[in-house]
Amino acid sequence: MLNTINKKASVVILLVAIGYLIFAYQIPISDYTVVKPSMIPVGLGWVLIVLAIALYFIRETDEDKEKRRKLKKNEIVDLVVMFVALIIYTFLLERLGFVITTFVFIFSLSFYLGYRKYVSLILVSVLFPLTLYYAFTEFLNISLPQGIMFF
Amino acid sequence: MGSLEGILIGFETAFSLEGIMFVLIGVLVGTIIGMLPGLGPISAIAVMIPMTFGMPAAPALVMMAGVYYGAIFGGSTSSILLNAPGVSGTVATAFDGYPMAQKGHAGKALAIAAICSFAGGTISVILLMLLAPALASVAIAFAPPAYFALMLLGLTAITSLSDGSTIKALISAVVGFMAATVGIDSQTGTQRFTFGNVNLLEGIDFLVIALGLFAIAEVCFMILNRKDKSMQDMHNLGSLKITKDEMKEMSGPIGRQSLLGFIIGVLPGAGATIASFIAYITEKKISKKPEEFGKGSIRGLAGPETANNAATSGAFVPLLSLGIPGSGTTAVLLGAFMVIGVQPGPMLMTDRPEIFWGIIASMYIGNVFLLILNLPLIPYISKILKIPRPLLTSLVLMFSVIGVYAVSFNTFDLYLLIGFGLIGFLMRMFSFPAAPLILAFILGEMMERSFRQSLTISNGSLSIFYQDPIALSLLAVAALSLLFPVIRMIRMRKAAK
Repeated sequence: MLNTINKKASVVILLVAIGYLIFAYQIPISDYTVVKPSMIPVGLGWVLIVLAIALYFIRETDEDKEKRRKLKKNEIVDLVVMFVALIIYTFLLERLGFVITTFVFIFSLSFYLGYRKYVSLILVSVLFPLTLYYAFTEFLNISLPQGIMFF
Repeated sequence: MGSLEGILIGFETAFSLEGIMFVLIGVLVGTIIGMLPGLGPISAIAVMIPMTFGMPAAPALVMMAGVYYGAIFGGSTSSILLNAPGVSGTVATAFDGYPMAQKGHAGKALAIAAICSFAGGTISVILLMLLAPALASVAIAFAPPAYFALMLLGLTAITSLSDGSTIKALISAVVGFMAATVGIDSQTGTQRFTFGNVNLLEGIDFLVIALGLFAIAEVCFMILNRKDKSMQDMHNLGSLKITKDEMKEMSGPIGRQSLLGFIIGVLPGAGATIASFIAYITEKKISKKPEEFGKGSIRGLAGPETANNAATSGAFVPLLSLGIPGSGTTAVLLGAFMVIGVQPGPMLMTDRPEIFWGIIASMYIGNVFLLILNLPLIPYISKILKIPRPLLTSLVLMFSVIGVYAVSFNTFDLYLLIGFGLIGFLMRMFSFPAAPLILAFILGEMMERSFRQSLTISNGSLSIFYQDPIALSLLAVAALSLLFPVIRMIRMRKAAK
């Protein structure tokens, strides 16, 4: 039944639409205005349901099929590593501070992705965070997380 | 205040030392980011937003505008040298630019692209100066129903013009609109879809969506394609000189496509990309030697390069005078306006002439800078294309993280950013266009407001939308624009039989 991409996508979108609608109907009614705050969300939810159903019956164009690439196993691993690295970076950003986490992030991700020129790798991963930290705090008055060190 | 006085104030702003400096920064950053394959004006504008904090509004916006047209200008370099367009507006540039480079005339191709971009950009700014104030004075009379209809037209136009399936584009747009409904409802103070989370009270920040769907999703593809050797091997530039005959050959496309590109840029939904393709097709059709196209034709390069830059100026017409963006990129630019605290629209010209006219006037300077950056300095600047992909990937991710963090100062938004990055990647994998989503997200709140204002005026009756003649005709065009892909599909089926 769900043998094509469009059909699978249609089911996912349908679920999103239903989930959205459930919450849309729970939006409290306000007495002060002519238009209820839930009016537009409820409308959007139903439109998305109609579109998801339409997508189910539409064949994927050859052009789209051609453009869609099959991911190899190692490519999926690369992407997972990138997303996990981003999550760890975010998690540690306020805990360890901008300069250290950014240094580790740039260094390790570039290394993982195959960059092996150590001198420029260290230069980039040290200089970028330091310069940006300095520029943000001194010129833009935006304080990036200081963390455990003096900067 | 008279228009002439406003223009003078604008030129004063643009030609002040501060103005010139920030135009230069804007176009330089735009050119560089636009040049990098995949990273387009949306990522460029989004990354630059934290830079504007603490800056006065006029120079900040002059800079952001520079980033936008600078990116389109710079995108041609990688189209010509690598056959990998820097931005989608320069895809058509590669059709004849890359073959020219393969023949050993890369320098010539770059020079033609730079001169045509400059001419298209400059001629269209003159048109912008004439049209934007005229449209602003008409738009002052627009009531909420007309505004609602206009924004709806923008959305239907972008969905029917985006390539691929219209249903998918519509789904993108609806999801974008849904994302805009998260947060406290500005009219009643009711919380919607916040799930008790304090971080969602003010809604989702547009930077999270812009950087997630564009920059992070692009990084995913950079990672997948990083071993692609062709991305690193560039052709030698060769001579940058252009002969008199070649100049003559370029002049036709420059004249025609400046005008055509500008008009396409003004229209909702279309932008640099569509303008450049239409330019390529028309130049090929009227050419006496259509067989040369695709093999390094000068007209085939000059046409799209003039048109995409002209369309970029054209896109400023609805943005500045109506306050309504017509494309994903101008939607993000509107987001930048709002972060800086400026609401574009019909009142901008009279209330803040230094911004309205300052941006327009600065485009003359910006285009001169771009010509210098992309002609005599191109051998040096194009070295940026040699940045190794693994380093570039980590740096783009870092800039995206800083961009979001510097606006929100909490990590919740960063997790959202990562989530939207994943969504953006999946959308690209399965051919759901991202531009309708960002446009709908930015327009969503404004559309809902004008819709509810309209119904408040009419006491809940929908008749207000067809009693206002402007709204009615705009809604009719919007409905027609949705029929357009259906007609196209039927015609294609007939042709296939």
